[in-house]
Amino acid sequence: MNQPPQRPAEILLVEDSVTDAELAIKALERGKLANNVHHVKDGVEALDFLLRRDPYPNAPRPDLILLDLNMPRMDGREVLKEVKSNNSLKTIPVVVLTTSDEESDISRAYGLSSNAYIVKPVDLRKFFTVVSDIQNFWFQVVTLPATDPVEQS
Amino acid sequence: MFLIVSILTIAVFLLDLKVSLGIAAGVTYVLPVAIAGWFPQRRHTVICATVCTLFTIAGFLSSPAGMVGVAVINRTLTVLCIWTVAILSISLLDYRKKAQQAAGTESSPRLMLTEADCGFNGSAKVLGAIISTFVLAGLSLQAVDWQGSRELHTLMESCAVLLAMMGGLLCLIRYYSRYSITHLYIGVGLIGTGILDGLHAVVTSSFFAPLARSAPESLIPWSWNASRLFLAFVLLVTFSLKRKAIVPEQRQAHEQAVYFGVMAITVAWVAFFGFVPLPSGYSNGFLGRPLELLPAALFLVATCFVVKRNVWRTDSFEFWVLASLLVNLVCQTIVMTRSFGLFDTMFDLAHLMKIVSYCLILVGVMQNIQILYRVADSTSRELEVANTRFDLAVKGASDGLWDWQVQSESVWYSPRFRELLGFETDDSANFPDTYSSFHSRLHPDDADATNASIASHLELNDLFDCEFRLKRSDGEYRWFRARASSTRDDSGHAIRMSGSIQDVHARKEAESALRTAELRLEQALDGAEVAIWDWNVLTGELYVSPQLTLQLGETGTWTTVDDWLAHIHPDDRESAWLAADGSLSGETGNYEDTFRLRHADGTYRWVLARGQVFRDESGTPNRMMGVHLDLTERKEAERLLSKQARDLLSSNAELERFAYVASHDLQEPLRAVAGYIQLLEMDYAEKFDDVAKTYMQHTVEGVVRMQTLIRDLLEYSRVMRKAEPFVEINPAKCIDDACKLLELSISDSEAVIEVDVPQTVFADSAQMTRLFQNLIGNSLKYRSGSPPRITITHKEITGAGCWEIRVQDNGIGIEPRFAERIFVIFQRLHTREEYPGTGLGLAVCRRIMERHGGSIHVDTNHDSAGTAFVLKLPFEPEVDASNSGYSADGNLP
Repeated sequence: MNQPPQRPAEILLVEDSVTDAELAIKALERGKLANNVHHVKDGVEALDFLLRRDPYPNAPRPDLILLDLNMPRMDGREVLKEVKSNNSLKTIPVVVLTTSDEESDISRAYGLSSNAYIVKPVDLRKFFTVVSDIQNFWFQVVTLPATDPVEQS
Repeated sequence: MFLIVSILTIAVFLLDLKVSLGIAAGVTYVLPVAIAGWFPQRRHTVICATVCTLFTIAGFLSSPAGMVGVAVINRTLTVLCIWTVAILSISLLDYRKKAQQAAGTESSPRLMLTEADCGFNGSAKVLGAIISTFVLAGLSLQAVDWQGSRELHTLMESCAVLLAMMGGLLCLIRYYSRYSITHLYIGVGLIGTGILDGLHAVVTSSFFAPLARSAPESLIPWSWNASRLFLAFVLLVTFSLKRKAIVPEQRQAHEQAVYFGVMAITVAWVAFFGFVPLPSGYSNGFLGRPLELLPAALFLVATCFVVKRNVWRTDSFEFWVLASLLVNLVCQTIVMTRSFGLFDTMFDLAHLMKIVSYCLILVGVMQNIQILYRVADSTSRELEVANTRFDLAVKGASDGLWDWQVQSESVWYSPRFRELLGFETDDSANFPDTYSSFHSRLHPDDADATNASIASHLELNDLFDCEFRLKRSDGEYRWFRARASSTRDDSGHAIRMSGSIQDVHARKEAESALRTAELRLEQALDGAEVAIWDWNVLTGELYVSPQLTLQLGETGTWTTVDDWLAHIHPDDRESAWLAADGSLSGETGNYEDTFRLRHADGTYRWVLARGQVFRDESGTPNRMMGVHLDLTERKEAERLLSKQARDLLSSNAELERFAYVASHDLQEPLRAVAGYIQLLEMDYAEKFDDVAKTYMQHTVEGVVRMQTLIRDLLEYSRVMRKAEPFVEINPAKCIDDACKLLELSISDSEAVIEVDVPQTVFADSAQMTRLFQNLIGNSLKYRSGSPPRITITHKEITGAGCWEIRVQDNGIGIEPRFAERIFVIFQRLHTREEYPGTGLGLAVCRRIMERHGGSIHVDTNHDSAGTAFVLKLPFEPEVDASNSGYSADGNLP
């Protein structure tokens, strides 16, 4: 994508912690790019959203997924596995945004084809910077496939 | 040969007639008989002797009337000589034949002769010839008209007395040289008969006649008859009495009774014939002297007894006695009964036959004595050989021999006996031939048992087999085994006790060693609580050592394999039997099985059984033996250990989960606190004054420190959680890696690091890197004014099996009293303002070293400034079980 998208970027934020989610949303709001942030609380909701199941029959296809790892019901690893094994979803970039800096978590996430792994900084300024960098990178620097191959066909 | 003998016999007969009682002419008949004796068949000798006897008697009849006395002596001697020569020839012939047979049939001829060997092999033919000679003589001479004289009678009786006395004396000599009741009776009987014959001769002599109260016609037959009766009676008694052994003490009394009897009869005889008037001995019937039939009857009965005894065929003496009895029988029946007057033909012939009968007994006893000498001679030769053999055996034997005259102190000890006790073989000065030589050398502990054994043997004649210690000449005690038997007299008392002693010291020592070994094994088994079992597969019999039943708290023991099965836990019974059966059939090799056995208190004990199967040549199992080990305690310990391991594993997993939660979930609220404070600061800055802003700043700082602490805690727990197995690594490489991580600080401080470490160690590489990173980092951090100089050296401590690595710097150093404190987590010696940090680095170092089975200390004794850490790392650290249960990742849900 050479030119900026016409529409605001759709971002799915999967995060069980309300405070963390709010901080993330604040950070994204402060970003330079227009975006719609959809917040879901766990993996189950995330998949419902992605697969447009109830209560999200009209959910948009997100351009980026910000995924926490440790969540109730279904954690980030399972979501990652589902997304990356689903043909229609696997092209959506997934950025793991978590507190854990455990080596095992990092390697496992990449093993499940995570597109990036980012440890949340405690310092808010640093956090804002990181989120801004994510936006910048995924919506301006990299080139993503134009459309969903499944939708296209 | 036969022809020569015949011609010679006739020639002698003709010569005899011609010479007409030439002195000793009759004796020439001996010549043909002697020649006939060389014939291999004895009948030739018998025929020749018979013919010569008849010729002799015929020659006597042709003698002139005046020379009767000389003729009687001549002819009597002749008949005697003829038969003596004949019988001796036959006897010699028999003996030669036997000797040849013995030499022919036996490879080694016996040396010793028995009396039976030398005995004349009596033949009825010989007896028949003698009888027929005299019957023929009696019958043929009946018609001869011959009248002897009183002098001739006296002469013949004198001759008879001499012969009877001689025979009797020889019998007694024989009796006294070797005990035989037959010889005593016959000897005394013959002497008695001789006395009676002498009295008979006296009363019939002319000078006694005036004194007698009876006429010669009655006196002579009666007194003749008395002598005959006496002899017949004695012979009858001799052969009719049951022979029983007369003990030596009674012999003298017996002899005295016999002598006294003979004397009494003699006195009675004199009284009877001297003072009792007697009727005539002659009658006018068919028999001139019917009185003679009475002794004849006794002779007949005696003959019957002798024949019935049937000893005469082997015993030469009884053969001759039988011959004598037969002659007497003939004499009393057909000769003397036909005498019709004093001194007629038959009267004299009867007297002649009486003389012959005495001669026959005389010949018998002489031969008997001769045989006795020959037997004695051969016995002595045999004895000599046996003695030589014994001497050789005694010299060659390894056993010592002894022979004790029980009634006395005297003991004969063989040379070897002395030698066994360390004496010279003939040292009778230090080891005299006495019982006390032996007894004083008995070991005091063995004396009672040995004495009891000897006493028991002497008393009961049981087997003497006894072991004891004897003191040798050098004072050392050695074990001996003695065996003996004893010789006893007729009453059963031991006279001699003789036997051997054998040196059994080596065997005894071995037995003792074996017992010690057994005892040791027993104790070992007791100590190890191991029980032995031995199963006879063929019979089902089972031996178990006491430890087994002891383990099960039982009092009885097991005897069969069923006892074993009955004690096995029902759930294990089948598998236990299959395991044993598998070993027996050879499918599973050596036997090993674990099962539960019922204890007497009702509980079950875990038992490990191990065993081996023994087979015969065909491979059939016949025996199985092995051990039982009580595993109950071990099983219990194993169970506990495995539970602890499980617990530990689960607690480790929990710890892991906890640590993860701490790292993740604990930070979220922290971030919320810090994040929203900062948000306030950013978005509402104008609404807060500077004090509030400072407070907010402190809050954020506190949160950040809190987060650092949490991270450090995680770091500390990571030593155990993120452990890697120990492998061979190069510690220099780890130091190198650590220096790279600290590159900035090193270059900033211009530090110099000198490294001299082992080529390889067994360790977790990442943790070693961490260790050196922390240590070097510390040295850089706590440096003094001058640039840091870090020296890493090593030593090999073989005794303790570890490396000693020393990290020395020139920094600010550590006060000795804080040497241990610094390794405690979050313990610091400085404020954060002086030196940043949480106080974790050295705690992590210690934890890493502990995990490696090593240690880390501060060396407080060194002279130089700065700090010296001493690390001890084992050559081969043991793998710790606590972190082998799970790996570095995949341990979370």
